[in-house]
Amino acid sequence: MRKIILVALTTVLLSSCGFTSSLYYWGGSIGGTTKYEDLAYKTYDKQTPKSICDLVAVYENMVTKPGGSRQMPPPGICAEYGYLLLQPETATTFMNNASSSQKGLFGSDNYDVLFQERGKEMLEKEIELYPESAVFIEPLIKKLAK
Amino acid sequence: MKRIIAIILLAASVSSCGIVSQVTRESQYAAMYNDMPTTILVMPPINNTSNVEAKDLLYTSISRPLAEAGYYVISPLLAMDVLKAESAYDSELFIDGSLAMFKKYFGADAVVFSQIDTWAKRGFGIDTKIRYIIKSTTSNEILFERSCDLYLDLSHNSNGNSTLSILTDLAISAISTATTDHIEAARKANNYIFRDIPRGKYSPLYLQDKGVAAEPKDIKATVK
Repeated sequence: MRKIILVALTTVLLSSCGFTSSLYYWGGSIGGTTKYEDLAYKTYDKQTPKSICDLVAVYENMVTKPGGSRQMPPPGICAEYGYLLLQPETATTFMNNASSSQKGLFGSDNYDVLFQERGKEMLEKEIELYPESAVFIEPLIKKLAK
Repeated sequence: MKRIIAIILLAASVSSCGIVSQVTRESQYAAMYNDMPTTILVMPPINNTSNVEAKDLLYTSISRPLAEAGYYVISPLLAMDVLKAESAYDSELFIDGSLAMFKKYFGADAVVFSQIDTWAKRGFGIDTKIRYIIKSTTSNEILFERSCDLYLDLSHNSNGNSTLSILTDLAISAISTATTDHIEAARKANNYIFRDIPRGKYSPLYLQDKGVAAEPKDIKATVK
């Protein structure tokens, strides 16, 4: 009976106000926020070579080492990562400004080819993981292929 | 014994996390449960303050609480590029109009609108007044609506009792707000505002949380 009470109490406490464990991994924490949120704002606000390199590294970490209870990248992350990799200046920016540990995340230093392939792969992965994204992502893939 | 368990469960459910309410999510958000949106598009906030950063801060930190609640959130960073290309990023133009185009081009079931009326530093924190509305793209019905008067407390507290630790906390708090940790503030605001939203398709609590206590529709609180 004690076990039943304990399980019931834990369930109620966890479910009320949404205190469940995280569904996703957001790249670790920095200060009082996540690395993803910190960089998303900084890059959105003003892109710098450093913020682009940092963002590539955080995205790569989030898609290759997913965490949380769902063990997959959060919604939109593969798409954002793919889109960033396919931007014309990203490969050159990364080649010229990334740290050695950031470059070490990739198995090749031919970033032009690598980022093109990885970018397309990521956009397709978004649809694979989240089929509802196809309405938005498929036209984006076609547009970027032109 | 059954009565004791019932009392303990009831007490736990109404008192945990500070939500003391007899209103359940099912009654508070009936339209949300009926509409059952899966895909959510976030529109850029309407900023009525002189703080130009507030808009981007809120916009870039809204995905996480909604994704963690189990929804598919269309990347605001990508959506913004498309909205800009179509000259459709002005939320004021859409908040009272048809949202059908967002269903067609983004596959969105619902759209999040927000309005920032206050975003100002006060002491070791930030005073905010924000209003959120989530509307269905098929019926245009309001699914979720909340006005928040939040003080986002960014002060540092190491829980130390010595004079030195108190002075250290004061110094860290001063530096923290001097460099304006507004990213953390925006994250706190969005997490707080959406903490009782009905869970979406990707949450294990999807459609299982109808009996959970809901926050009042309008909130005034200090968020630590």
